[in-house]
Amino acid sequence: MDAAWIALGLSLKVALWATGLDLVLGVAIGYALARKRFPGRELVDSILLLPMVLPPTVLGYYLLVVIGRRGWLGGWLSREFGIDLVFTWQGAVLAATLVAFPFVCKSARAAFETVDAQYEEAAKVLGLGAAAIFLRVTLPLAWRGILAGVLLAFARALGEFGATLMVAGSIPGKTQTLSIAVYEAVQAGQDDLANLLVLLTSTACVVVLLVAGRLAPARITGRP
Amino acid sequence: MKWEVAIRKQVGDGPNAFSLDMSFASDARRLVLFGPSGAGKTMTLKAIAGLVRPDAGRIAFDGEAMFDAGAGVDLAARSRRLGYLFQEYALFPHLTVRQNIAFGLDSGLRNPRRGRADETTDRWLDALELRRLQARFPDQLSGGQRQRVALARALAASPRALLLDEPFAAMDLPLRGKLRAELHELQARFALPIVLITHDSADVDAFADEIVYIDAGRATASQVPVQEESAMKSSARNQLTGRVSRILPGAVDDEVEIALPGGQSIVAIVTHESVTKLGLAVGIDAFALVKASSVIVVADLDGARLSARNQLAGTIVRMQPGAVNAEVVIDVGGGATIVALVTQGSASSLALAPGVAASAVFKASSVIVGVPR
Repeated sequence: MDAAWIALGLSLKVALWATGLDLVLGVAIGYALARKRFPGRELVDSILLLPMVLPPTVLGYYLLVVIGRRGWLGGWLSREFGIDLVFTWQGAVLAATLVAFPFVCKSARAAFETVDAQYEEAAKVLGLGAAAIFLRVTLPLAWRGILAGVLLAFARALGEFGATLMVAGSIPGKTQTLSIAVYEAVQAGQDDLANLLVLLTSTACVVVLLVAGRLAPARITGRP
Repeated sequence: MKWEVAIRKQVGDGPNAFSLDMSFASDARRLVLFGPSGAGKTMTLKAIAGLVRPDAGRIAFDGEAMFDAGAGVDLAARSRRLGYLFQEYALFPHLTVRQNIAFGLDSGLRNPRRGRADETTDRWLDALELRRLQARFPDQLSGGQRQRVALARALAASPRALLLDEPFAAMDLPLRGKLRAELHELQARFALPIVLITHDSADVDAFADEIVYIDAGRATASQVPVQEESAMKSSARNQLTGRVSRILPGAVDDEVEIALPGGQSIVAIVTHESVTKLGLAVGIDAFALVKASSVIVVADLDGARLSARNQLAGTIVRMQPGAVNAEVVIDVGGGATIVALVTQGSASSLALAPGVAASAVFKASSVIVGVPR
């Protein structure tokens, strides 16, 4: 039964890393899409949405093409640094990051778009630089919307299966996350283990939602 | 102190294109840009503030170029040191009144903490009577309180001038008059040059030392409003014609006395600038404009000690009752009458009626002086 706890730990580790990466990338890109005007903006937006529509196995295949030992990035990493991402937990993080990315990016863009540009102008006239305006005005006003996306991304990363299996495989204790372990347990007819794993997954999700509800202060964007 | 604006900007293309070609110069301490919606007023004001970048031209304040396309000058908004009052005030909804006012005092990466004690913020909280509201959030404030917070926030950053974007447009009519009076009083108290944009002629009446008329992206005319007799008639009910009998020069404002044909006289406070501009001098014809709502009716002036400089004795000739206010017309001699607005309640408690002796009382600062053409 230890295997179940190990799988849970691994799942949480992978999901947290993936969510963290998505938070940084999604907020930055979501902000750029909301506030900057550049040619091909909507095309970029559509491409970034792809992970939501494509089957996870297809995404996993794309990732293998890029970071596999014969892929252009994977090959370079392997040659220069001896880093191999395939069949590692870091590879699982990459897969989960990619799959969960649209949730953060989409909600961040929408949240930034609802922030009235007048607040940013007010801050500008009051003497703030671009970084200060972002951290003191834009981000606090958009935070609630972004948080909703982050929660969804975390849930998605926690449940990620297809792309992770393609990239990281199912090595117990190394890359076998909860959702993959559930599949393996059912396949092997280990109903007790499967039951425990499913219970763990469900509990983890409920805890995440409760914690998130606690973390979100009542007054983030002012009352409607 | 002088504003110099000569800018061009093209926005959009096709049928939605708008081209701004704004050019005016003024040394008025209270400049009003007046024109219909969509005339380019806000764009002009934002260009002055540094929030909109013109394609070409020059913007200078006090002889210092803030933007000069030819010389490659484009000061960042924060270096221009101009206060900006947004149409709906744009108070930060996630910050308390106190944090909002302290916002511009520190340009670091973190917002002022809620409980942070500092003298400057305290001073502005007190100056605008916001101390007991300091822990509130903007959505817990009334329209008037919001305006005061926005002013305190702008003034705390010690700007050189204040730009106001239609400050009353979002308010309903009764509140508008009240806020206008309040802003008027504050502007006089802090003696800060202002540029105000509006499409409401009542704002012109209340604030303009000089008006620039704007239409379709262009400044079409510019004038000192007291010279424009007909424009004033619509907003001020009382126009009393007489002759300048005395001018007492002051540091900023002069005191102008106009003798009326009936023997009584009116005292007005006029900026030194306007006296020069109008060519006011003893012996020339002039008229005084007084709004009916500025006039107080005093039934028995004997023994009353009032600070108002103008106390014209007369007789009520006519009463016109209204829904809330009654119009009282007082004959002050020499064929001149003064209309006053008083509440129905006051009219009956003072027993005002035609034939009763009454005085029209108003402050010297509520009088606008003009010279007939």
